[in-house]
Amino acid sequence: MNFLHDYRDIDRARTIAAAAASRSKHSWKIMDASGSHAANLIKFGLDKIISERINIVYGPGSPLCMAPVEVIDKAISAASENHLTVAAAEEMTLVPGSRHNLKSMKYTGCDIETVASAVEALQLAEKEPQKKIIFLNAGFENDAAVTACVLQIAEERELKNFTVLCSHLRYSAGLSEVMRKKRLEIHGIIANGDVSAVTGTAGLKRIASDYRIPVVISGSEPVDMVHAIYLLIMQLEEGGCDVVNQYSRCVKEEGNKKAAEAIDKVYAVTDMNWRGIGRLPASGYSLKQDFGRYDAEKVFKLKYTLPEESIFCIAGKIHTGTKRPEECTAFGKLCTFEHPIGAPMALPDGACAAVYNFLSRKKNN
Amino acid sequence: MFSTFPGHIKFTDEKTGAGRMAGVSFGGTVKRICIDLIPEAEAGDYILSRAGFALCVIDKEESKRTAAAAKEIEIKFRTENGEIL
Repeated sequence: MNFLHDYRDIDRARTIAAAAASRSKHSWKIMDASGSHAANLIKFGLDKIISERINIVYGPGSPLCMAPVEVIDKAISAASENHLTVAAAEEMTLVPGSRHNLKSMKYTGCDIETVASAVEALQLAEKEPQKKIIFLNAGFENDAAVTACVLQIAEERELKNFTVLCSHLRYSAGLSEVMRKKRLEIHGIIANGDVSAVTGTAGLKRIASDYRIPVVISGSEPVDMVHAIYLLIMQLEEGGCDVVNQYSRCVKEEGNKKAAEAIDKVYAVTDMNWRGIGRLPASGYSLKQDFGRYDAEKVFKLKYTLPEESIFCIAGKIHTGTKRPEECTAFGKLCTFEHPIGAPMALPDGACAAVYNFLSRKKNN
Repeated sequence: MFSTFPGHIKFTDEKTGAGRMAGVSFGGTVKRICIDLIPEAEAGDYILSRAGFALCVIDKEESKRTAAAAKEIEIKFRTENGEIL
């Protein structure tokens, strides 16, 4: 796509990063709640350019790093004890449960199918009617809308062997709760543009107004990321606390109404566990009763023991900006990219993996 | 969780109702993507795709505006630092 060249120009990204650093007359602590952006900043060396006066901390923006341990445990139980087929994205199979992840269970003979899309999971159910397919999905509203659509297609096609196991989170509601519960001392937020393309800007406007901090909605290309940081710094230096939409090519104020309707039709709002952070009120979605026949947990009465997060992993502190990955005692010793114990190290875009891989490359050069 | 990619719609299916698909090019590779969430999408549109579903139509004019704003920051900073005279 031609117009993307402008957003992938690394020289331009470096210059804008330097411009952001030079415009910053004070020291600012900003939270990257945009998912993998901080990891990408490290990958392109942009963090070093802006780090002198701008401290970028990680927020609860990575959907898989936030996925509760119990949803992985339930999927493992479905595959190992109920002998069902679990279909999930490759990255999803890397997320640690209490003791194992789905990838390691695959090697023990469990039927774990990695799919490139939700549509593939549906096709798998159509192609193999003798198998009972559980589609495992997690993430914020953009993923919730996909799962909602998949269920409506399954309903229309009268698929009898297709169910879902999902733990979808409400982005702005959860972020706001994290801000309140953890009393985060941050000056501004870089928000997830892909989620905002579905939700619109209303939830983020509430955060900006409630906590009197500026928020910039960012795209995920290198120029997008530093442009968003630049716009946030300009607001901070001028004392603004508005929501600025850097990703206006995809994010409209009202979001995607069709996606919002699909979400409303399929889910009810519920309290949800955010990995490492705890249970947050009205921060997630559960399937409505009308879709109970597609709810794998209810249909198969999935059993799991009390979920356990690793005692060594400080993911909760990393995703609330109170600790950096390098400050974890397990980082690079007990917990490495090759042998991760926590979700931020297990996932390639996770905060710990990004820092670990950067330090490893630096060491090898 | 799946990743998000921008793509270019080459054609859309005639079928209506749940599961309407479009042929979307991602850097030359055409994949079938469900456009239930953006029924207004048509051939020629750029879209943002996730997990085989299109989430939004990319606004080309807004894209040009944002790219121009980013370029302006770059030029201004380079000029201030004597790189562009």
